[in-house]
Amino acid sequence: MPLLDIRNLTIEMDMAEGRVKAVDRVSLTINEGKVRGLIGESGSGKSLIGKAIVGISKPNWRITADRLRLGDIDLMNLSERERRRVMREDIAMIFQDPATCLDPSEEVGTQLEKSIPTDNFKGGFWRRFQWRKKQAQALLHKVGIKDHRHVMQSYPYELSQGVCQQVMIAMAIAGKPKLLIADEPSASMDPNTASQILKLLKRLNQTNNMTILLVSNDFATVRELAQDVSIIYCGQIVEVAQTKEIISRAFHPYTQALLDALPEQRRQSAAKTPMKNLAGSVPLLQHLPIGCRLGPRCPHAQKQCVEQPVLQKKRSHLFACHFPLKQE
Amino acid sequence: MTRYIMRRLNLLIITLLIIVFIAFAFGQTQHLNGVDTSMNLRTYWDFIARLLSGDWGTSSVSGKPIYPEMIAVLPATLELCFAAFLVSFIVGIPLGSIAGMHKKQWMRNTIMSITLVAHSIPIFWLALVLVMSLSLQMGWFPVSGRMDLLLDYPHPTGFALIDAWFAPADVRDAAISSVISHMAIPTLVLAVVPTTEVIRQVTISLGNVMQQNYVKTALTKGFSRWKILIDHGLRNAIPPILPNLGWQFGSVLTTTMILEVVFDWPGVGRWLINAIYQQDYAAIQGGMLAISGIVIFTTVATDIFTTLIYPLHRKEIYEH
Repeated sequence: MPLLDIRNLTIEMDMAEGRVKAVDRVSLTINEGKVRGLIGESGSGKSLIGKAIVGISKPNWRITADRLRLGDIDLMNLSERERRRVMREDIAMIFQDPATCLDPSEEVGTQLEKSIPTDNFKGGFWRRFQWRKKQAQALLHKVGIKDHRHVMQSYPYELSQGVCQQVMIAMAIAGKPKLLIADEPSASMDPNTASQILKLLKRLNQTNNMTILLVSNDFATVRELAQDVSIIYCGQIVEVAQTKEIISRAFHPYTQALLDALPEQRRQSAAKTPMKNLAGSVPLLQHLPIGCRLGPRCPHAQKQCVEQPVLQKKRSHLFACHFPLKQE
Repeated sequence: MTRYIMRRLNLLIITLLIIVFIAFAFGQTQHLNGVDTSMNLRTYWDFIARLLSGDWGTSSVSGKPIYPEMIAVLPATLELCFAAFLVSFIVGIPLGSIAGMHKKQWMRNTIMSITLVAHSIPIFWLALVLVMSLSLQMGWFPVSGRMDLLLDYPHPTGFALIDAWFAPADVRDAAISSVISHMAIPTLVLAVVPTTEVIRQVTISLGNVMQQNYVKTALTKGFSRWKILIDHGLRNAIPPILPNLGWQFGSVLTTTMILEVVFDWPGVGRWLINAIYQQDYAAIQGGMLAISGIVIFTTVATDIFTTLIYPLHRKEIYEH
């Protein structure tokens, strides 16, 4: 049984222009101990899926799903109190721009200590203080911060993005969650720091058997970590497959476009050849094209594409396209 | 940090010198500062030296020195101001928090409408209405004055509540209740405007803070909204608005002076207005100096205090 099981998740938003579907019947599963990548451009609704799982929604959102389960917990029908308990114990989430995710007015160490659950600590309350401090230090060591004293006494603005993300990860794993949702954890970081963060996530996955949903906007970050990937475009899943397979052979033109954007693809092409990419930009949610949503941008689009393609299976790939790419 | 405090103190001193100069120029035209009415650095310096030594001139009406008279009336005004500010924080922060949480729209609308109404009520009118209803008709509170004059106990500080607190045991309870019942209506009326300001500022500031990423992060950790409000919300929403509220002190002080006439409160406002009626220029000069000095000092002090308690403010200083 998969740890996270989403079936036909739909998120609608009431906006000034009327109701728009930001996420349209998305299905997603992750088995325990696996990493799944979720790739899509900004505005494709990939962050919304993460938010729907942890239950942060705005009043104008309408979330429906045939199934939204974490293990044997049904995330759709939770009372406020139960949901908070689930979020405290079972799910953790880290974001991009980690420096803004820490309270600027409090020392990092104090914030870290506050996120350590004390439920399983037996002993006098006077020992608890010392115990929490020890735990916090151990967590910082675990995420690769050696100079714990300096970091714990600093304010978030005194630390770099990379260190802040390490602290965020330390806070996230403090409660030993079953699922970690990483929402573009290395975006807006310099490449070296970014790869350190990804390495850390990989180590957590390998040594602690942590299940991770890795949300990102490019293949470069995901392929190191994720065994499986789902590609999302305009709120719809367009292709699902194992990472290895999808990199060697993509069926959906959009996936191919993302692969073409990888740095080594660029390197292989001769100098001064035009870069391959899709024309145009992601359509606004209130101006979605009918039929295949990639239609107007797709180089292979034909008459039939005005009809919505359904997800079909071919050689362990799931993809939604009338004219899948034939590769030599 | 030291450099920042030095810079603020510098600003304080320069502003005070300008205020003193205005008072000095006024005094020279009215022949208050002795025979030499020329305006130059030497006479200006003499004037400052006299102020510092406690010689603030002599009243042309009573013939007594100004400084001790003013020191006698100033605490009454300040006490009222502080009490009003305290009330405005106690009432304003919870109401502002409720309105800023975006939890229930109707609650926010109700609070904001009441705030708008309260903000637009003329203060002296409200004072008169309350005196007419609560004091004259109901008889719950005394009509005017600061304390029961029949109670006999020493007044070493001039702050009625502190004096009553340390009064001899036989009159202590009576003194405290008398002071509080005299203070109640003036304090409440005076607190109206700063309370609306506190509510407005807290609502806006908290509304911003609750949209920050660290609040979202705290939500994903499964903390309740109220715990987040206490843990992250107020501690980030209050410090940035403290300087703005410090600015309010000036207008509250002015309002106090108007109300003192309504309530016959023996403070600096009533004293100053009497001085104006009697054309006692030395008293006007002294009162103006004292009040503007207090306002400037409070503004600078809140600024420095904010910097001391709020790390982000400290960071902004280093960036400049």
